[in-house]
Amino acid sequence: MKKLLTGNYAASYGAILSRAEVISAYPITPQTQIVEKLSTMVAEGKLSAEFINVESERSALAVCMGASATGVRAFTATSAQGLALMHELLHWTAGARLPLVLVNVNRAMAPGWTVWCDENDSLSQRDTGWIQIYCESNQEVLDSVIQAYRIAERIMLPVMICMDGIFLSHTQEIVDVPEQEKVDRFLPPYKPPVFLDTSSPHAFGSLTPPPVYFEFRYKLQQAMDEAQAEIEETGKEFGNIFGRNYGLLDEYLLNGAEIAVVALGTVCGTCRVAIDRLNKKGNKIGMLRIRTFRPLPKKKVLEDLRGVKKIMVIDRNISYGHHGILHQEIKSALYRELNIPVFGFIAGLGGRDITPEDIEQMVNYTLKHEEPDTDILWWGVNR
Amino acid sequence: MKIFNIPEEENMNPGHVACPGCASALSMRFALKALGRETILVVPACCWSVIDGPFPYSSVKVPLFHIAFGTTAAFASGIRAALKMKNKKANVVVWCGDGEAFDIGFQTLSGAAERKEDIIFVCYDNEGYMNTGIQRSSATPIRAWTTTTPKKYPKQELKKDLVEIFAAHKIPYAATATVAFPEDMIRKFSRAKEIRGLKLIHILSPCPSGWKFPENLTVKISRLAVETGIFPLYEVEYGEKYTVNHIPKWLPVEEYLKKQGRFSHLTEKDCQEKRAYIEKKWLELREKSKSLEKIPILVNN
Amino acid sequence: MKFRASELPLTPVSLRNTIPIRTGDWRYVEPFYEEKLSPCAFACPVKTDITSCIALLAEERFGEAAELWKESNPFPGVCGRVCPRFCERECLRKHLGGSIKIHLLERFIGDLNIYVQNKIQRNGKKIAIVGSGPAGLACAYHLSRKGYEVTVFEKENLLGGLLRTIPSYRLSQEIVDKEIEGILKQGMDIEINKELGKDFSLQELKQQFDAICVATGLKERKLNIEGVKLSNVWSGREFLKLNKDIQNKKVAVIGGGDTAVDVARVALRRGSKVDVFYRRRREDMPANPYEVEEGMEEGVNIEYLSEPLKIEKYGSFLRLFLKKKADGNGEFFIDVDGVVIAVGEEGKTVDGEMEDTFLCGDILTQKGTVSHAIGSGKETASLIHEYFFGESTLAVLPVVKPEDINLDYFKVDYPPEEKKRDVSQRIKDFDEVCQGLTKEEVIKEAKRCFSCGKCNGCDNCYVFCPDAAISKQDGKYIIDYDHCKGCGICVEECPRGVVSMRRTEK
Repeated sequence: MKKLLTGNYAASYGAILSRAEVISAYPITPQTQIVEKLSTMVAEGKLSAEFINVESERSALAVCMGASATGVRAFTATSAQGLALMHELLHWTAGARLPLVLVNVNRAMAPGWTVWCDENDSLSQRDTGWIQIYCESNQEVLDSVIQAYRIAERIMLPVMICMDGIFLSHTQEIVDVPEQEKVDRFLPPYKPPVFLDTSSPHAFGSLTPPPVYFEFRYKLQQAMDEAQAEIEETGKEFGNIFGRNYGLLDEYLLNGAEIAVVALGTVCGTCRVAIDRLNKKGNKIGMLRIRTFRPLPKKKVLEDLRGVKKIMVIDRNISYGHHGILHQEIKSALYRELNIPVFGFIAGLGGRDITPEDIEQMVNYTLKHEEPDTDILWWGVNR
Repeated sequence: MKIFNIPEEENMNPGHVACPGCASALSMRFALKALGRETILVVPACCWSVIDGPFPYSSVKVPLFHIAFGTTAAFASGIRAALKMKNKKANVVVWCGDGEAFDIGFQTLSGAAERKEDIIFVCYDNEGYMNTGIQRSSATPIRAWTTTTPKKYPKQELKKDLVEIFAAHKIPYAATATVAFPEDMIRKFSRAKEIRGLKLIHILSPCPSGWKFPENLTVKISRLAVETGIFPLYEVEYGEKYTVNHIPKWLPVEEYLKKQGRFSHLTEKDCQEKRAYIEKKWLELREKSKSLEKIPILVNN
Repeated sequence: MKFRASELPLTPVSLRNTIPIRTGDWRYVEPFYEEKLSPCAFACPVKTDITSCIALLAEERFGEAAELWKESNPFPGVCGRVCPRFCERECLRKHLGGSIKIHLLERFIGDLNIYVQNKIQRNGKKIAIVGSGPAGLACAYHLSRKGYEVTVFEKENLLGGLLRTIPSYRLSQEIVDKEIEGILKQGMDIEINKELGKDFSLQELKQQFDAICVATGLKERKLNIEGVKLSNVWSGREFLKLNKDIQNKKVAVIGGGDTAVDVARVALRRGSKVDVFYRRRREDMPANPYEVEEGMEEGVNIEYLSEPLKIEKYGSFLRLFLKKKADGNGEFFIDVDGVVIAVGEEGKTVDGEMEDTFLCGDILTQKGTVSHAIGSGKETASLIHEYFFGESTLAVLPVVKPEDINLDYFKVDYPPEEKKRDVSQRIKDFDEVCQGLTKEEVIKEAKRCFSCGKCNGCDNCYVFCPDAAISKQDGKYIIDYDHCKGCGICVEECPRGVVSMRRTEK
């Protein structure tokens, strides 16, 4: 059934259709509507779940972890400061191999206070062991939440679904809401191999000395490696049932492209408009949207970028003291495989608009230069 | 001729790695005797994150989840919610030190109390951050030495009154307990099991290495804490109904203080101050507990 | 510890309990169970296992208590009445309401009149025991219970020796009869009216017996002053054997021992006015202090620091001259109808002593109390047994010290009031002055006992072990040394000093 939904509602429907059994979240703009929607659904009996109104994001994640550790499906959502407050538990969730799903509505980090979008909040959590999927549309948000549970519960790693705040969270789009019956077919009930069970008592997460800690971390990385195939397979299976295919990456006009624009999130939608305009003028521009940021599908990225002459990375984020986060990720993927110049743009921090014209100008800059003038190409900053 | 009748059921294995004479290990033994195997423990960073044993071991015969500091009451809420969804019953028990209860997890606990979460929240209070090597917490008593409150400038602030704080949350059950009174402790755990909502059990847990006393005196110190009036054994229901479980012998407070190195620098004036605090606490307790009206408070004797 | 990643669970999930962790290796000292001698038992001349007996009383297991008592002392009825209570002086309950009234519990045990069986095989060794006082009979009793064929020789026609001279207001003779009957039931031959040196000699006995025990006691000490041979001047024992009324007479008693006090109180009951003259102070009196107190209650007057000088006959009465020691020139006299000299006892020599002759009782120890005599009898029996079989039956146990007791476990609790007949009544007859306890009082009093050094299964060691390293098996506590860390809480919390600490051998 098609509905006009904001990204927040799309995320809520994703959780509802996935039959999340325990939901806990703490309101933060621009995520608040998710909390409101789900608590209302539970209160009205439309969703059979426990909704726990906690006193902090940290507690929200802790509640979900407790539930997940007891063997039920748990859901939470947050944004920016809230995600940062969860930081320690993000590590804990992944380390404890709890397959819960978190929707992060990307918002820039304070100070000063801001509720507008950039992706520094979730990208700075890249090393916590969570699978991270970045969405471009509200449809993708809904579909990805459902896929996330399947991926998470098979790999036993938590999944973070990221959507740009305001641009998706507060923008209504037409979303095809799948039928519950079909979702149930796609997503079987959660049955973990081991959980908090009085009939089979175990201690979880006890002191792990050097002779074993290392091996557990090796296993976590192994899981991340396995996740790539799982994400792909899940995306295909989803496509078979619902008619919408998803993969690790999303390629646009890359075949024969000379310049590849690499980005994630909603800026990719803007890119599509700019690229269409540019290519009408005879340019050969393509786009690689990084849907799965963690695990980073390095081989696929290489395959996709092989043949282009220049790479432009548009980062709505920055790793202070280095450069754009995606920029460094792409560079590291190319290492010793492809010797192509990478133009690293930083744009749109704190929710500043990145217009199709901006993209066109960035492409024009790239066309004109053999190599970037500087390591970071600050786009639109008033120096 | 038994002095204390405690259940024979043993739900903690030997081989746990608590320091010799650890009161929190003993408390766990008592608690699990009362709670039984249908119990799930949640443990934050604290001595018990070590005591239960390193991977691949666990000393308790119930499931136990080690979780980050400051999250236990929420994590336990999640377990309870999950059990509800699964239509299963178990005692969901947070087992934490004073770091979690008084300090880092205080907010989370308050939140869970406000939500009336059906969990038993147990603080084994060894009056400082002992697992990190004896630093001050907000549960450290005034004038005590710790490595962060040296003898030249010992702790200047009063200990938080945890039970009163949560009595003010109007939780259905808050109680104090300590190892020298095993039957009392076991009864309180058995009682907490039967009550729905958040139950707080505040255990005074003497720590030989942190309080600087010989490890054979753990129970003795625990008893002295009660018999001097420093640590009253009482229960509060819904923040209103107070029951004092034991009238102290009003032993001189020095008997408690002088056995512990952390108080070795105390002067007569400090002891006098302690006596004044004890008296004040008991006057408050007498005021609140109707059954205590006629009990003399003899701290200064 | 080494694991391959492939063998590990996804996250650190415990795979086993902590029992393989040998926390016992941390230990440098360790607790162990060590039953000890209670201070009462240590003080007891008979070394009776008082605490164990009291524990049985507390559980209302009276018969077992009596049997256990009689394993050590066949005279509880006697000792419960006449012993000066060395045990009670050492009782650690002293400062927490008062010592346990052990004598009353012993008396209760005695009055149950439970005869213990002796089913032992005879070992073929023949022992002669000369003298049937408490020492001789106790020795005979224990030897018989060890399997010896015992013959007791008594010069009088009644067994009991000095027990027969104790006035019945203190010790009813029926009790002596019954307890002697209990001893005889162990199996032994009795030869009465047979006096050593007159009717037989040690040499003769030696030919018939494998060993001889001489328990003939002490003889009365004589006083070397003028006038001791006058009529109406008696020795203590002579006076006590007299059975005549001396209504409205005045009697002077010289001495400060049990006999002197007995004489005074007997004289009082026979209607006399009595003055006791003792050469030292009250605290020096060897007499049982309880007897002195009772005598004084009854109206016995005691003059201390009074040394007798001479006795002269003045017409129908006797004049006793004395000297007060305190002031140099304190000579005085008193006119009386009779003088009794009870100035203690002294040893006598035994002719024909040889190897395999054992001395026993006062003749050996000169202690002068019934309890010491019984204790000596028991000890001599053990020595004789050791002599023949080389087995020492006298165990050496450490004694509980006051600091071994955890007073936190005991509340102030008072003993029952001792019931004595009213003075005005009791001086009119020879019935017992003191009354025993009721069954209920016995149980209550027994429950006051700390049970020093004797485990009574209080469970404290088990209850308070933080390492769950103490378990209970068949009513005993077992320490799991693989896990005991040696904290010592079990030692500290044992109320009665049963758990001790020792260095761990590495």
